[in-house]
Amino acid sequence: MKLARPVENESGIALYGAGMELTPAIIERLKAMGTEAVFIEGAIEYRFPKKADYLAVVETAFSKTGGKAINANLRKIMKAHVEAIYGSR
Amino acid sequence: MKTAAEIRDEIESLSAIPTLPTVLTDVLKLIDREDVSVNQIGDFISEDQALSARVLKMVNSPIYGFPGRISSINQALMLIGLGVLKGMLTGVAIFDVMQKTMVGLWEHSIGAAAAARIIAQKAGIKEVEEASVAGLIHDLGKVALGVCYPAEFGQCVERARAEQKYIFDLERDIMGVSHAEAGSWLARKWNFPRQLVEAVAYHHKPRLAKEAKKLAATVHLADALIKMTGFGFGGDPFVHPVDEEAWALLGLSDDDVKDILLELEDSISGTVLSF
Ligand SMILES: [Fe+2]
Ligand SMILES: [Fe+2]
Repeated sequence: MKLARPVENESGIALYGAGMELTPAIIERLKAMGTEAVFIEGAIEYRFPKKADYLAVVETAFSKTGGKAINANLRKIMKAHVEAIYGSR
Repeated sequence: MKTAAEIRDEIESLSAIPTLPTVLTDVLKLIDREDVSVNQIGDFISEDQALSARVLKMVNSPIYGFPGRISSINQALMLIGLGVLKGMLTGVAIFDVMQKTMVGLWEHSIGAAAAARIIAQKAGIKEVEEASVAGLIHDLGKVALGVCYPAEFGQCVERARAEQKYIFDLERDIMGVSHAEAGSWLARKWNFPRQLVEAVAYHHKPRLAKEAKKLAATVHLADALIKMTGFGFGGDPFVHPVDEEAWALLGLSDDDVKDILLELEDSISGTVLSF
């Protein structure tokens, strides 16, 4: 598990860079600093293991309104978004 | 069926039943007093360990955009302002009852908060934190209806699922009022900033907003985006028809929406929420 974004201190100085491996020791240090949450790489996989699962959610979401112009456009962008995030891995 | 006025009375008196922890009602009262300084309010909140921990956890979560950087209530107050704090405290305080009302409603709410923040940033809206809190409490009315009328609201939830309908429409059919109205009554009763009241009231009909058109439009779109991602559950999985006026008002390009979705994806899934 790697950091997707840097962790900064109160003054905005990066303490840990993006791409840093989150070892148990580093997690302990983050906890000790009072950090509650960090961004991790590839976390999308925890929500939807497969691209098809995500696309099915999008289809359901638009099943009532996909014919309306703005919604049709949003659906198109959303599908491209899903393709892009799974395609990169 | 009860009249809308009767329902409104019963919802407004929610403040009298122990839905909210007393410390919250105390803080909300304190915030409304003009002779109390921001620091005094910060100190008061800091005295309550549980409440301040929850507030800090919230502002430090990726939902608010500055993970891990805010260590004190006073610092949080300076960043988000009193009016926004009020909304956030309410959101944080109703966390438990939200989870009881509807599985997934809390996630839907924090997801909408994240989406609203990101949309506001892209649309050049200055009050980013306000947008975030408006997203957080936009479905407050579902909690109000669920607490006041568990049987009827339960019927709305059940029929939305069985008949694949919008819960908003069923609320109006079954109870004669929607969660948007119910939420706005409660928000007004609790003296929320007018902008927030309007955003809650008009998140399904943003063009009816008077002073907070942009904020209502932001929440309206945030609600749609978070449904697209399948994060959380607000009673039905269907994106509403996005209002043309609201869409035009935000002035977002396709590329903007693309960026917003990427950042939203990060906020809702790219996180270890609690260590
Ligand atoms: Fe809603
Ligand atoms: Fe919603």
